Amino acid sequence: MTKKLFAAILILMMCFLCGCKRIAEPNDLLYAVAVGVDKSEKNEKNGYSFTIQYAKVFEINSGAESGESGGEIVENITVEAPTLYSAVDVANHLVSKRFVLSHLSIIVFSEETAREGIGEFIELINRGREIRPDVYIAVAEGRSEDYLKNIKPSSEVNPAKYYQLMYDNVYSEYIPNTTSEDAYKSISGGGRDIAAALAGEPAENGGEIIQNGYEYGLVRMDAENTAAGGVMGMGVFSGDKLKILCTSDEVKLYNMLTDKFEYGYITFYNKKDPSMPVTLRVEKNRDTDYRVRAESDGIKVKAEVHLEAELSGLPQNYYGEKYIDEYEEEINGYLKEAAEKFLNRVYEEKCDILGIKEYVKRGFFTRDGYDRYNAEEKPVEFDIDADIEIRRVGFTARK
Amino acid sequence: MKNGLTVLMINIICVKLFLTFPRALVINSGTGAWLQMLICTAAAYLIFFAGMRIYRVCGSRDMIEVSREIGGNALAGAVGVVLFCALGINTGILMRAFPESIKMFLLPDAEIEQIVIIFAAAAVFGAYMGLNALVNLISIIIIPASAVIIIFLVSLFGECDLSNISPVLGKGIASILSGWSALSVFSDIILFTLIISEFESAEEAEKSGRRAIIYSGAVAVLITVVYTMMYPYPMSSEIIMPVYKMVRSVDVVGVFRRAESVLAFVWCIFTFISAGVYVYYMSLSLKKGFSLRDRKMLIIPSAVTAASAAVIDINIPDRFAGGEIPGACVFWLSFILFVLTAALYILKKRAVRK
Repeated sequence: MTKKLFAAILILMMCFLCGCKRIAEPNDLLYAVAVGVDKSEKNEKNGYSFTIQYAKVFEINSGAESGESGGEIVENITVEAPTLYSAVDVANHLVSKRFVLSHLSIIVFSEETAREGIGEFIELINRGREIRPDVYIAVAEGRSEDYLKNIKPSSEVNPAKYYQLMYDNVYSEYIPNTTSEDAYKSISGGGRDIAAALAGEPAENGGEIIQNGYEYGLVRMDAENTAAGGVMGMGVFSGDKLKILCTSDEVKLYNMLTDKFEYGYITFYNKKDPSMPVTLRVEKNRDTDYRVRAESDGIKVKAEVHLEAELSGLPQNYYGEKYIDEYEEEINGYLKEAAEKFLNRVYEEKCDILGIKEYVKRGFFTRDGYDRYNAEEKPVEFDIDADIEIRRVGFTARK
Repeated sequence: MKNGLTVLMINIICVKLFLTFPRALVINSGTGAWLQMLICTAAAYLIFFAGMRIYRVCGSRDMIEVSREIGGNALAGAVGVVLFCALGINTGILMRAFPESIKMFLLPDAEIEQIVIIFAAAAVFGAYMGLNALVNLISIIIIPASAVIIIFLVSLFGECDLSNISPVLGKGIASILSGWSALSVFSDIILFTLIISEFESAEEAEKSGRRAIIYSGAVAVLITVVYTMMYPYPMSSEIIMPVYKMVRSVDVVGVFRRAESVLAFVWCIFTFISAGVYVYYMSLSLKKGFSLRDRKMLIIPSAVTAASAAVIDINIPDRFAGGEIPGACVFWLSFILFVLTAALYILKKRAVRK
């Protein structure tokens, strides 16, 4: 009887344990979906200008009910502060509700901020519990405030869904998918260097690879698309500092070399008639094979990229089916040249985006041995082979 | 009952795996942490095997009963106090670690003293209910809880990178072999000094203990391997709550996210049961040692003694660093007690025969 009474008292006490001292209903909170970090223009001492983009819940609700989408579903507030949490503290006094960062989808750094280093922000994200480790990292050419203020999703009601579809899309071949946890592993763990998506205005032509036949013409966004907040290209880091900006075509090469490429449409030159581009639907056949040799004079990397393709677009009078084998060899040549130029450009800036150091580590038994080898300072030579197989020709075949 | 006790021991050992483990191993051995854990599991198995083999001469009686036969009430009382203190160390570490961890990731706005009181009350309740109730409870919970943990670990395989576990020997063989503090994971073997009387024979107790070490060691090695492969060194040496950090990255089919709340729930259940068992045996060690009539009157004082360790004002890094060393000492103490008791028993038997 005493046992049952004791158990009953304890169970009753449990009902009062949750309490209501610090309740926070969803209606009392503002959910930040994006944060932009710029250098402070007004006050250099305060360090940074944080733009906090939050969801306007009532607009989202009314938009969903009326069948409308997009429009004014987000609001931005810009605060000058030395750190993100200080900025949130200030922002909490500028609006009636309290900001919550647990639904943050993306953090955008301005190019200037990224070049100085993003290490302290990544450290802050990973040390705290509020911001999730799968928050995406992006770099904006210019100010991140401009990028965020130009966001006007035209096909989404929910801004968090908008960012998820933009950045979390495995079929988006023009941007890398990099999270804050990837950045932390790179900066704190000495892992492979990160490449963050380039938000807003795309980078200028990154190099000669564009003219040399890898991609017909140059993929650019016009001003209207930029204003809508598009994302194409990437910023490549060495440690926590941004080093170079790359075009969307270079992102495609990066995705192929890091096995993140699923499928995409690529247009190639053909030597028989350079004015007639050929479009292929290219997909990954299997993972890239890497053979890395750590020698005393440098690191030699041999890689083979495996792709398969389908003829998607041919000019009217061009009988591409007759020259499949020849064309495969031609494309392999283009890809090899483009990949080696891209990697040489990136590795000159000491950006180890392929994680070559990680491959070198596998050849050592102890940490001391690897540290003595000093892989960071060794030059890297690339020999990239492409193996593309045009397996299908679509629904039509010409004789 | 014997399977239930095995499961209970696995539960108690695994509770520690969800705290700061395996950070200390990574600090000691770098990427060779998994190898260190494997070696420590094998060492704990062999040491326990040797200790229990030697102790077989005493039958399936607990250490206090054997001490009473050897040296009378005085020795039994002394052994009772030693066991009380040893169990109190483990309970104190748990009582300190649990509220701090809960405050860090579950209830950041709660007062830590409130959490300590609730935790101690739960331990008292478990100790009052008795061992049978706790064994029955863990027997029900262990399968779904284990399934959840295994699903989490398996879903993290996609985040693993073989390069992160290179170089395979980490900081070198010398570092790996000198990492004896990892034995703190198995410090709960001290419970076998008292739990042995619940078994029908010493062989059964030995089998149960060996199985508990193998299963919990396997979980420990799996956690270490996944952790070392997920996070590159030296980043893996900086994370205070490795398993919690890992589970934050769980993303099954893009739908099942924020799984750390499930981990926290499972871990809380395991911890409450462990605390109940420890407080139960702390009170039992004093009762048996001093031949007292009633064990239940000792439950609250035992819980209060252990809980007072939780309110000592020290900073978190020191607290996390200090936990492994006392735990490892408790493991060696259990082995020494087994061997010493058996040796004294044999000597006593010979003296009686003469």
